[in-house]
Amino acid sequence: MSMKTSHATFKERIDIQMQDDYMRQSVANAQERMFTNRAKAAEALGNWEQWREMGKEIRQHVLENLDYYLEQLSDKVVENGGNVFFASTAEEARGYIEGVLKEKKAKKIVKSKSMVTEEIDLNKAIIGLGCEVIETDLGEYILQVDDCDPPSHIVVPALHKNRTQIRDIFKEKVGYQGTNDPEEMTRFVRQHIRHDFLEADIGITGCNFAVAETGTVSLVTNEGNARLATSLPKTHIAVMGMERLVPTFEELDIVVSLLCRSAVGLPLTGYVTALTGPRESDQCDGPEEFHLVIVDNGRSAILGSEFKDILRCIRCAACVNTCPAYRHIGGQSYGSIYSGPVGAVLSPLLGGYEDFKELPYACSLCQSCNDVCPVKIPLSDLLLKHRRVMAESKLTPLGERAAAGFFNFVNARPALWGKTVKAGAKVANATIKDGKMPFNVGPLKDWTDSRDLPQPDGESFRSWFKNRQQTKGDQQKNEAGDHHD
Amino acid sequence: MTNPARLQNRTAFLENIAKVLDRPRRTQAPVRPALKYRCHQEVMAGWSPDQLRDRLVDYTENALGAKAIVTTKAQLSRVLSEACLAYQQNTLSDDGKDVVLSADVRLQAGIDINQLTQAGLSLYVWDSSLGYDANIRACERAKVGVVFAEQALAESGTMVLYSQVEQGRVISLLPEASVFIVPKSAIVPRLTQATAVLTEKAKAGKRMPSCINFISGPSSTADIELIKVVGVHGPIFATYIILDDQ
Ligand code: SF4
Repeated sequence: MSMKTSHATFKERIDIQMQDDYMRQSVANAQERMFTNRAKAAEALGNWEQWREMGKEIRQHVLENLDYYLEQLSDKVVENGGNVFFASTAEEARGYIEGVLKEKKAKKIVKSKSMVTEEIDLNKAIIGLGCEVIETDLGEYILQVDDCDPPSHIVVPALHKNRTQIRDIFKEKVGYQGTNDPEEMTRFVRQHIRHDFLEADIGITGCNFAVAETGTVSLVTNEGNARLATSLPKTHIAVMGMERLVPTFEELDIVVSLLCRSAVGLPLTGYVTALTGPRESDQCDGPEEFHLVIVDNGRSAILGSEFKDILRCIRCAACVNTCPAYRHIGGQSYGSIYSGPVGAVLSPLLGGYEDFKELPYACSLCQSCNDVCPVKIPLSDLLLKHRRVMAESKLTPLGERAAAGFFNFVNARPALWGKTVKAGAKVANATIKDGKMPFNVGPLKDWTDSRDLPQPDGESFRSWFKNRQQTKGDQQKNEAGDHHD
Repeated sequence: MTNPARLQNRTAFLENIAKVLDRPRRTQAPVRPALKYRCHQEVMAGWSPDQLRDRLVDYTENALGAKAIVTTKAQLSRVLSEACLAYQQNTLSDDGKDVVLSADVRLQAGIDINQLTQAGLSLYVWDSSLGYDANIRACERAKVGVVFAEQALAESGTMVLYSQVEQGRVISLLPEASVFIVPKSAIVPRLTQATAVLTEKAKAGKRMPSCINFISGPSSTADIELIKVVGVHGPIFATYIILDDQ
């Protein structure tokens, strides 16, 4: 899968998604639960604003000194006995990894969930070499078995499928005979692919955060598949977006804490694994060979642009879990591996406006994403910037330019839309009439027409949501999900 | 492979970053700003070892679906035997009866192997010198893997493991059940205290252990309808044995 997950137009994708009632209901339920879990976890920790501020500053400092920290990281990895390849493009990254696979005469590769490997379309390259590649994260496994169905959420990729659909997929594709019980299906996958871990020549993972000072790659997971993929095969290849690092373990503490609480509402996920180079020569499990592939693929252009704040992102999906647009259209409508507010900002930057020009319009200006982001990325501001850039470069159709013009008008008058969610909601109030946008913006119109936005009664989306929550009662306990990158 | 092959394309890549940042390439260490707040240090600051232990037990049993047993050094062999025997009876498949024990000296010094075998357990003690295949096979067949933790984190019910010659990565990974042993004195509030140890190691110029794991309970997933299922690719069961040695 590359960045782009569909050849249908934005409108067609939304039409398809809108017909899927299960998807819409499940997204709504999931959002509520994940939103509440995150809020509870932030509150339980206390001083959440201070934590966020630290997260922001750490990530900011790294971006400002990125060349230094990448040099330090790569020196350290080599010193520890590993290999480092700097890939400017997706093609270079694939080329290097293909080279390693060939050199190792690899036949079977186990992967743990990694967005950046999706971004560079790695699986296709691996299969092209005649190798077998198994996605081992349960959600990714479901999608892979289902003829590579695109993910709908950056943390819970198969969120759009219900248990019966999953049972049917397993039945048809991998000979599953059991019921649609999630536990039974999970155990089936455990048994079914255990041998793959034992037989694999190479394990490929992403990297949540590298630690520059020590040459360490950390993985934040729950299922144990990333541990298997980095303990059993003789070779480990970690692929990381070039911005995904921190200076030392001291900062790792802060960003991992923010990630786990924001993503799954827990102090820590089941496994936080810090891997440093290949195994020591006197040890007998763990990889003999370690490769770190550091990927630019458009990130340096972002770093030099007015969109650089998005590079602070730690892929927690808190913004996705609070976004009313995501709630209405579902993750697959974005047509990108990155969905929700982070996807709407990132996809046009990494994949180009041509393919993703509608995404910055999938936003109701509620600003709820800005409020939950653990590293304080001003997501809705960045979405407005996209609209402006597209309007200026006349990239967008006429109707959309008119809309962007409107947003320019609002954007140029901060008093109109203020800094708080409350104020944001008031702007939404002004722009949403009878639950519909006052202007018709091609595809956006379709979803505003067909699906009511949160009622613009002066309440912010969040307080609207909270009210809903209170009437819903307490139905969730201890959800967990894997969220690697 | 030679060194240049092990580090490829770096110069142009980093030069480009410097260029987009609109300044010369930064080759000297920048001043790393001190963390702005101390809130991470303040979590459970000043708690006594008993309070930390209680919090660890509470979180483990109530949030993680794992067992926590507080015992003494004198009782360890008995408690460990019982924990392992319980898993022998309750686990899902019949093949393999062995318990894999870490060869960590702190663990080996604390238990009486005879007492464990007399309790009816067949044991395999991790032995790196036998190589990959023998150790993996033993762990793959075993019901239970027993390891010794460097630290435990009270906030998250977490066991901290360093890979080492005597204690491979897979002991706490391949068997269906994991048993962790940790002294009460090693319980700290949170991740902050664990990363502080690692930062100190790094400052002293030491290489990190190749695999450091922060493990909170058995493996789990919520990938199907967000329903939490315990036991995915990693262990399905976990018991923490806390040695109340103070
Ligand atoms: S933009 Fe912020 S909230 Fe969204 S995924 Fe990234 S870090 Fe999380």
